[in-house]
Amino acid sequence: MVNLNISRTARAATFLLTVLSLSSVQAQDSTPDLSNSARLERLITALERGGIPKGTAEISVYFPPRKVPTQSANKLPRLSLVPNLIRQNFDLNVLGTEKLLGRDVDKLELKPKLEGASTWNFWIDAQWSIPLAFEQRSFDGQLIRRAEYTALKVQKVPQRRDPLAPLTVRPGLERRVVAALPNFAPPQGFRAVSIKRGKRGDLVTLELTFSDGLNTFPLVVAAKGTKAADGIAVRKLEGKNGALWLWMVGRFPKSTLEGTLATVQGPVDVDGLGTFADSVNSNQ
Amino acid sequence: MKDPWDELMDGALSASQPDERDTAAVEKALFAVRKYRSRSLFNRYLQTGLAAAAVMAGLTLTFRPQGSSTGNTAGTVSPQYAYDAYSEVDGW
Repeated sequence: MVNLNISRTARAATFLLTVLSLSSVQAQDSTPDLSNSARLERLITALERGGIPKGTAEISVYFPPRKVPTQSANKLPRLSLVPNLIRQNFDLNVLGTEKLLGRDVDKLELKPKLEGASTWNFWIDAQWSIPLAFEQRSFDGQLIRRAEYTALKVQKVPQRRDPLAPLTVRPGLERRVVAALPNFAPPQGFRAVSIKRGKRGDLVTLELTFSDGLNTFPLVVAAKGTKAADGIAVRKLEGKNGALWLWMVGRFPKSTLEGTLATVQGPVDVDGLGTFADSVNSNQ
Repeated sequence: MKDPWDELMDGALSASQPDERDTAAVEKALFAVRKYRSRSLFNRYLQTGLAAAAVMAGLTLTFRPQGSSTGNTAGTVSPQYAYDAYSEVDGW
């Protein structure tokens, strides 16, 4: 009787160990010996190479809202990367291996360390080390954008002819921003990466871009506000030559959008910033 | 087109008797006056209508909202402008 019980216990323990070992195998990517930081570097390199192969890609954008959210293209869109900020602001999680278009892919997640920013999932070809799909999910888990190959036209490792030029943080620009918009503080982890003059209809704008490495948002300075809409915060401020409006656009919590604009204290003076836009321009 | 006064005189001169001439002259004169009056009224209404249309067009052009085709009003613009700025940043 006792022997029978021991035998049952042993079988149950063996079964449990088997299940645990299987689940741990599933959580590994195709290179289990790599450290997380090494994996992150491989991912950044893969993203900088971008969507190299030609084929058929399906690209869905749910924010900003569009009449037709899903469109086709012959390759994946480029991502606006700031590698140093990715290293600072995101944790890499290996979610396992999957099959995509019959190829082995590692599913990786870049989860923001700070609340409010979006999470990114990547499907990286294990052999070619390039992304075959990626998606952005907002702070509340909603799908914002997704791009995925649905067919590939190549059967060997493709070479990219135009590698991505990553964006860089511009401390000089940030000093000018704070001088022009007193006390302005972007959401934690976000840094100024570019500035440009824009024209929206008959409205001339000054448009700053902030990034946390992967997520970007524009801060627009204009002589008019915009109507209320999802993902847009607007604030009217006194300027040197009359009223000015700040627009912040992004899939953030409403409190983050409004709280960011509320950091600006006192009258704004964007004359110096405009000169900066002319002389430095943007990375794009 | 003959002037109404000429028509009046033609009628009067073509009558053979003095009383016929008087009657014909009066009838012609009345007809001419009616015709002149109706034409004059028509012209006046036409001028008034054209002037009103011109004033309305002027008012419409002067006070139309700036950039109304893109949803602008006096103090705000369409949120699509903000969305466009967002989309251009990433190029999606």
